[in-house]
Amino acid sequence: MRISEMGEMDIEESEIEKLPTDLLSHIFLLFSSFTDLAQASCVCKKWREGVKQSMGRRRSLSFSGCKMDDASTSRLVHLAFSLKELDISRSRWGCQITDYGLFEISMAKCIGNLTSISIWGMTGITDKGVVQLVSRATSLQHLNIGGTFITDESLFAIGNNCLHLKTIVLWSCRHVTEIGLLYLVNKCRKLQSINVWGTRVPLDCFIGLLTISPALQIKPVGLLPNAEAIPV
Amino acid sequence: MASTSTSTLSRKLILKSSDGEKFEVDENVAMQSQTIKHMIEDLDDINSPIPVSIVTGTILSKVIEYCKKHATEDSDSDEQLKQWDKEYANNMDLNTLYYLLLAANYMEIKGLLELITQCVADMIKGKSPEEIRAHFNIKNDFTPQEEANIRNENPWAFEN
Repeated sequence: MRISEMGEMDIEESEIEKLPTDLLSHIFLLFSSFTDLAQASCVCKKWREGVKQSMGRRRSLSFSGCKMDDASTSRLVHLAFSLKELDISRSRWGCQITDYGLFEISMAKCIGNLTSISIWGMTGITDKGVVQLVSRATSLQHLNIGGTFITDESLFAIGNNCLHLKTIVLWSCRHVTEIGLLYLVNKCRKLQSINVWGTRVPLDCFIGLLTISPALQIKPVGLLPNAEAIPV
Repeated sequence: MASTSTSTLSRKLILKSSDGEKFEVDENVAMQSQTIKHMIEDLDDINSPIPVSIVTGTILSKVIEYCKKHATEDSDSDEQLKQWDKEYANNMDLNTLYYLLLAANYMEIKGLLELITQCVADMIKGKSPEEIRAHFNIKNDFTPQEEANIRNENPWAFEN
């Protein structure tokens, strides 16, 4: 028997209901699906608190498969103090992340510690949001920004702020040019791999990138089938 | 000639549950619990019972069952041990799981804690709030308005 939070004696509750919030959050930490987390936070006040606490312990967060929006996404990221990896890539129609969402996310506590961000396929975002996001994501090592309408302006911001960057995926970013790519590779000296599938950058540009950084892996492999044969 | 030479080989410890039940276990079994490990370090007389204050005899015997299995794991493959864990957890009713969870947390038995949390997590997954409440017999302490607000926070999470 215990005094419940409502202040009344309660003898009918199950034992599970008495679990301390701390242990509940241990359990919720094992959930990978946000649907499960959202369902659990609707159960009762204590579970809601447990879900909140488990968010604070999470190292990685993926909204993959969710139709999320700016407000709910940024609210969840703000709860995730210990976050290292954030995946808000669009894996289904109807999710509506905009520059406003990126702006809100860039204000979260965890942003400076993030090592990986994926925002591929977010067609609602522009340079404005991306520049704001990467200007605070200074620990970033992996960035997937494929399938967006970003231009060189985003690449300049990445080059200026994400000096630890190791991999970047730019597939189908049809508005980035040679100038942006050269700037990026020049600035991010730790860059190991760049995926440029579906961009409109001329082949010459890749030779230029390799001149700056000979060990750079340009993906997809085979893009430069006769790289050695092309006269520089 | 009296001899106590065997005592160092496999020392026995006595664990005493909250309701006074005593269990004699091998030291290596008891040492699965970090809490007991620390208690032994501070203990002068190894023969006096070690109190496991918040755990009842019924639960403690189940904890010891787990610790025994995992103290002698060399005889089993990882796969066999996993299977054993699974059956062990599946045989527990909800309230036992709850007390085991508290015991594993208090006694700091990492493997057991992970096993039970995973087991409870698997029970919750894929259920609606109503189903969860019914399964665990939990009272909804939200007002209808509060509950509607929470659902509106993550509307996408409730779509299939």
